[in-house]
Amino acid sequence: MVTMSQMKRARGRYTRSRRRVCVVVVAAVVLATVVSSAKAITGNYWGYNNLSVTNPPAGTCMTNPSYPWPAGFACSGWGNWDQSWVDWTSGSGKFSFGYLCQSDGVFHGRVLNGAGGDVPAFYTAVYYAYCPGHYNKAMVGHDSGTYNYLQAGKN
Amino acid sequence: MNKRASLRRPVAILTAGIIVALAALGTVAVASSRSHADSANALQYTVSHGTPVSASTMSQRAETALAASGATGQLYELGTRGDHAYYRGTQSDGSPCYAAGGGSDVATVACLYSNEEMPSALVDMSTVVIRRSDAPKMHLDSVEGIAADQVAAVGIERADGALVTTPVSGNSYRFDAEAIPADAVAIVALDASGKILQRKTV
Repeated sequence: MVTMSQMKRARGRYTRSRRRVCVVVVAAVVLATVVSSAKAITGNYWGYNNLSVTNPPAGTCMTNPSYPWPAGFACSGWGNWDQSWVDWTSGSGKFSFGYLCQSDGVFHGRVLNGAGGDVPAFYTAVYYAYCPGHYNKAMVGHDSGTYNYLQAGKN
Repeated sequence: MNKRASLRRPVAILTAGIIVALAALGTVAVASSRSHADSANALQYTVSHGTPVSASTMSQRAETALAASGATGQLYELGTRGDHAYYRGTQSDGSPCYAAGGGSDVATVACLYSNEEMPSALVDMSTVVIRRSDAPKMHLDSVEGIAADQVAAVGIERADGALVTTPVSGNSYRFDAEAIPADAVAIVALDASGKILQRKTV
């Protein structure tokens, strides 16, 4: 003979068991999603967003308060960044990413052009090959064409 | 009432789990369709596998940059040009990565969203300089990169259409700084017959 309290306990165990299964399923899905994109998507200063001749607006990137860069340029703050990166997902415009070097105040970067055969990818530039010193801004800038949809950051 | 309430919660949790799973599957499907679209649009370029490189021979800085870019698989050296070396790597899903750098260091990495070895004739790694005073005008600073097996030479096209070329070896190309013309307008990939396979304006 099964009592009402025994039925309640059994139902409680069943409910907790299903809940645990659900939690495990959700955790597995989230873990799989994270592992499948195991890139250093940290430290972003732009996007995901369109980079174009008008976006971001002029003055978004400043060398110092007196020297605004034109529209289409975005940058991080100053720091000893090891890597400057872009996660370029679509678009056919021409743009570049790299570093605004503190030593010369000039943007040194890798040029990418979707209309010229370059393809969307996760691109990384290591500071030592672009700037004489380590203390720089990571930077991305539109050059021509319509737009590119991307995220940019530094590590 | 209590019975309904006790059943409602697990059903809600299960539903949430299914929604999250479907969202994740949707993300994978979008990425997959993007790769398939790339495959459908591109010619079949190939690149040699090169010589396996032990991770222990790379600098710590290079290892960090490769891992941060997703190049966690076996690394192969494709070729060298002067003091620069060119590499091919793989991501956890098998997609290719390409890198270049001086000696055991890595200066630049590209991890592609493509299942193909080479979705285009070149993985160009050229760099530019931009001054705030004349931004966004680019000044070509270096020309180098990885070339598919089908590319025999890479050229820099001048404003008048003339080409300055360098042969491809070890699936790589690099121009000395003094060989880069000030009026460069494009980088082109040429096959053995001189046909242009890719033209990238710079």
